[in-house]
Amino acid sequence: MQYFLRRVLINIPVLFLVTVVIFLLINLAPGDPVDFFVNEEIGISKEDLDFVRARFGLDDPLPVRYAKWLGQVARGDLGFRFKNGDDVAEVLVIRLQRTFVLMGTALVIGITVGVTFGIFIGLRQYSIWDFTFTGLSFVGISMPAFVAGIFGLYIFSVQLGWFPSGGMRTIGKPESLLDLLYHLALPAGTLAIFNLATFMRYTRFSMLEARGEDYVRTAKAKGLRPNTVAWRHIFRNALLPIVTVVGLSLPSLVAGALFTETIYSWPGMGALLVDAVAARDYPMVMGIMLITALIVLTANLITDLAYAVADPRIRYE
Amino acid sequence: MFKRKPLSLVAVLVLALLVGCTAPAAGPAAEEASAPSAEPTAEAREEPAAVEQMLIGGFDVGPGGDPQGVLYNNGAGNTWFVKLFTPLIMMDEAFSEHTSEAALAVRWEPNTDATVWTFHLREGVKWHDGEDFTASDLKWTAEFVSAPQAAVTHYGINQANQIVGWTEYNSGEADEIVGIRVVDDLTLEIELTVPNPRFYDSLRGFYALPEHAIDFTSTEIFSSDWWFTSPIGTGPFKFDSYAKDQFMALAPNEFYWDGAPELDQLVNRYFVDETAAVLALESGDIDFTYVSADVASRFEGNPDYQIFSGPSFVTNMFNYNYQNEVWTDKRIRQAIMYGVDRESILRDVFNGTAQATPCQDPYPQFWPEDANDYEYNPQLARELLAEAAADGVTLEGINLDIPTYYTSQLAKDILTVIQANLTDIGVNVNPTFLDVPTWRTVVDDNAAEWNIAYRGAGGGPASHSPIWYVEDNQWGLDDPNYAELFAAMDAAQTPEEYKTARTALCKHQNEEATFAYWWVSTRYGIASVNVEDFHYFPAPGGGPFVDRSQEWNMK
Repeated sequence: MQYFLRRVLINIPVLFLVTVVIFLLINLAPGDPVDFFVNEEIGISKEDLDFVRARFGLDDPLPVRYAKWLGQVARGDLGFRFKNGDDVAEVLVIRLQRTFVLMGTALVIGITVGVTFGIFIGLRQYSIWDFTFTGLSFVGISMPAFVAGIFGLYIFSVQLGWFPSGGMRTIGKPESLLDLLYHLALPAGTLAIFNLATFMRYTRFSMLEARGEDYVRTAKAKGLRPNTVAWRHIFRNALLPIVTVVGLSLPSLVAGALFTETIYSWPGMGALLVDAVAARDYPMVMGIMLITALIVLTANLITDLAYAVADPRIRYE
Repeated sequence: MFKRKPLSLVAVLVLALLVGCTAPAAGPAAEEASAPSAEPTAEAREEPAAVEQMLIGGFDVGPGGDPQGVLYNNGAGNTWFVKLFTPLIMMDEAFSEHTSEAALAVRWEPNTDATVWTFHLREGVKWHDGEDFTASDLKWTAEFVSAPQAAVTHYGINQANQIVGWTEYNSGEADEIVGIRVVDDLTLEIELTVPNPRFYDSLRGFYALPEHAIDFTSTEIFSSDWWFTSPIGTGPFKFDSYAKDQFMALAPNEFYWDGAPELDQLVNRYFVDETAAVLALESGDIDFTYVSADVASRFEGNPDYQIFSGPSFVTNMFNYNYQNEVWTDKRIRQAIMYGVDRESILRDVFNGTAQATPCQDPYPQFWPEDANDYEYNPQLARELLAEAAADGVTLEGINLDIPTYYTSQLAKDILTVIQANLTDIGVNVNPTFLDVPTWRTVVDDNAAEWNIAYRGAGGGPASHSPIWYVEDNQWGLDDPNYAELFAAMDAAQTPEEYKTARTALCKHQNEEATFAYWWVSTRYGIASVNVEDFHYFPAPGGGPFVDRSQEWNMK
C-alpha cells in the first residue's frame, strides 16, 4: 500500500511536467486555431481574424494561458474545443469508449492468439511450425498499420464485400451488438496483426528461455507429465516478460490507432488527435495528452503490480 | 477468479464496452440525436418505418466541405447546408455564366443609383415545423449573426459593412441594422451607404434562420447543440438524426414549397479523408463523394458510376511578396511566367483537367481576347532575368521556398515540374508543403521572410480586392491603377459596363503579371449509377447552388 501511494505521489509532478512540455510544444507549432478556420480559397480580413483570436483568449501571453488552463483543470474542467465548442471532457469520454472497444478487441485478439501460438512454437523450437509462424510474425511486425488497413479494406470490403468499408454502424438500421461487431471485425482484425505478432515473438522467446532452466529439467526428471511441465513450470515463469510487453501496449488503448481509425472512419481517440492537432485545437490536444499521460502512468503502475500476481516471489518494499 | 485469469478481465471489459457502445450514449445531447416525432408509439420506436429511398453521400469531403460545421462559420460546407437551410439567392446549376438564381427571394431590383435593393420573397415558404417564413426572419438573422461578439467568422453577406447601420450595430452602438427594413411579410429592403449594382451577388451565403425556434444567443452560434439536435430550416430536407462524428440523416420536408423530396432519407457520412470516402464508394457503402482529379480518372468509363465535374472557380497562383523589392520589377515577374511550361503541365500533369487563366478571375466571360498567354519561352525568360540583373535586380541570394497548403500528389507533381522549369532558367525554387495554419504563419505573419507562395483564390476579384490589390494590401503591392480599376467595376451600372470594367482589370493583371496566375482546375464528384436525377458541381465553398435535391431518387 505504501509502495502504491509513493508511486502515485511521484506521478503528480511527472504529470505536471508532461502538461508543461505538451503545452509548450503545441503552442510552438506554427499557426493557431484561427488560421485553421480560415478557408484560404474564400478569404477573410485581418480584423475579423484578430476578433476571433481575442474571443478564444489567444491574445494572452503563453504563461497566462497555461495558468488559466491549469486552473481550469484543477477545478475538473478541461475546457471547450476551439473547433466547435464541444466540452473536451465529454468528447474524451465518448471517444475513449470507442477507442477502448477497437483497441481492446485488437488487444484481446493479440493476447489470446499471439500468446497461444507463442507457447505452441516455443515448445516446438526449429520445427516447421516454428519457422512458419516466426516468419509470419516478422511480416506482421514489419507491416505498417496503414498498409495493413488499406489492404484489409480493399480485399475484404471493396473486392469481397464481406465487411463494411468503415464507420461503427449501418446507417438506417437500429444499433445492435451484432452490427457493431460486424463493423469492428476488419479494423480490429487489422490492428491485431501487429499485437499478435509481437506477443507471439515475446512468448516464444520467454518460453524458450524458461525451458532451459534447471527447475524445468528437475520437473521433467521427477516424472511430471509434459503438459504439467509446460504450463506450471515453463509458462508460469515465462509470463513476466509477457506481462511487461502487454503492459507497455496498454497506453495505445487510449492513444488510439491513428492510421486504422482514419482509414476505417472509426471515430476514436486517434482520429480525434489528428483532427485536434491539424486544427491547433489547444484545449482538445491538451485534454488528450493529459488523459494519455495519466493512463500511461497508471498502466505502468498496474504492470508493476501485475508482476506480483504473475510471480509471487516479487515483493514491493 | 480474475487473479488467475487476467485475460478474462480484459475480455469482460471489452464486452461491456461493446454493449456500452451500442446503447444510446450518455454524453452531450448532440452525441446521438433524433428528431422528435409528433406521437411516437412504442411500436414505432422499436421498428422504424422502412426506408426504401436512402442516399448516403460524403457531402463534406473535399475542399468545399465543412464536416459537422455550422452555418456562418468558415464559408464552406454549403453543399450540405443547402439541404436543410435556404439562402436568399444561390448559384445556378453550374455557375458558368456567374448567374444567381432565386431561392428565398424570387426577384430583386435596385433603385436607380443601386443604393436601395428590394427583395421579393417566395410565397408559401414554411419552416420545417410548419411556421410561415417571413421577411422578419431575414432581418432577425442578419442581426443575430452580426451582433457584437457573435460567434461567427462570416456574416453571410459579403461587404456587409456597405449596409446602412451595419457597422454601428456590429460595434454595439445601435440596437438594430437600420438599413435592413421589413416592408411586408414578403418584401425585404436593404439600403447601402454606397451604390452597388451587384449587391445581390453578395447574398449567396445569407441563409435564413428561424427566430422562433432558436434557443441560444449569438455568442453561442458556434457551440450550440441546436444544429445537431433540432435544426429548423426551410430547405427540402428536415433533420432526422445525428450520430456525432459518424453521420447526419435528413428526412423529406413535407412543407417544401416545390414539393416533398422523393428520397426517404438523405445521409451525410463524415470521413476523415478522401481515400476512405472513395473506398466506401467503391464498396457500395455510400452513393456519392467528391474526388480529386487523379482519382476521378480511375472511374472513367466505369458503367457503375456517373462522373460530375466542373471548374473549381478557384485560381491557382503564385503570390509574390512585394515587400521584397525584387518583385516590383515587372521583368522578373514576366520571366517567371515565360519560364514555366504551363501547356505541358496542363496536358501531362493535369491530364487536361485544368484550364489556363490569364488573370485572377476564374470566370472566362471576363477574360480579354487579346490576353498574353505567356507561351513557354525559356530563352525570353533568361533574357528578362539578365536584363533585370544588369540593373541590379536579381533573384539570387533570396529565399525561394514556395510554401503551399496543397499537399496532394497532384500538387507535388505540379510544383516539381515548375521547379524543373525554373531551374532551367537559372531560378532555383524549393516547394515546401505545409498544413494551413503553418502556411498562414509563413505567408501572413512572417512578411519579410518569404517571396513566392502557391495557393488558390476563389470567387473572382471582388472577394479579394480590398485586401489584395488596393490601399494597405497585405502583399505590399503599390499599383495605383488597381484602385481605379476596382472603382470602375464598383461604378458600373449595367451588366455591359461591369463586364467591360472587370475585363479591363483582368487585362491589367495579365499584362503586369502582378501575381503568377496559372490555372483553374476541374474538380469532380462521383455518384453511383443507382442515383437518378442527381446533380453536383464542385462549387467553391460547396455552393450553394441549385441542385434540385427534391428530385433525387434511387433506382
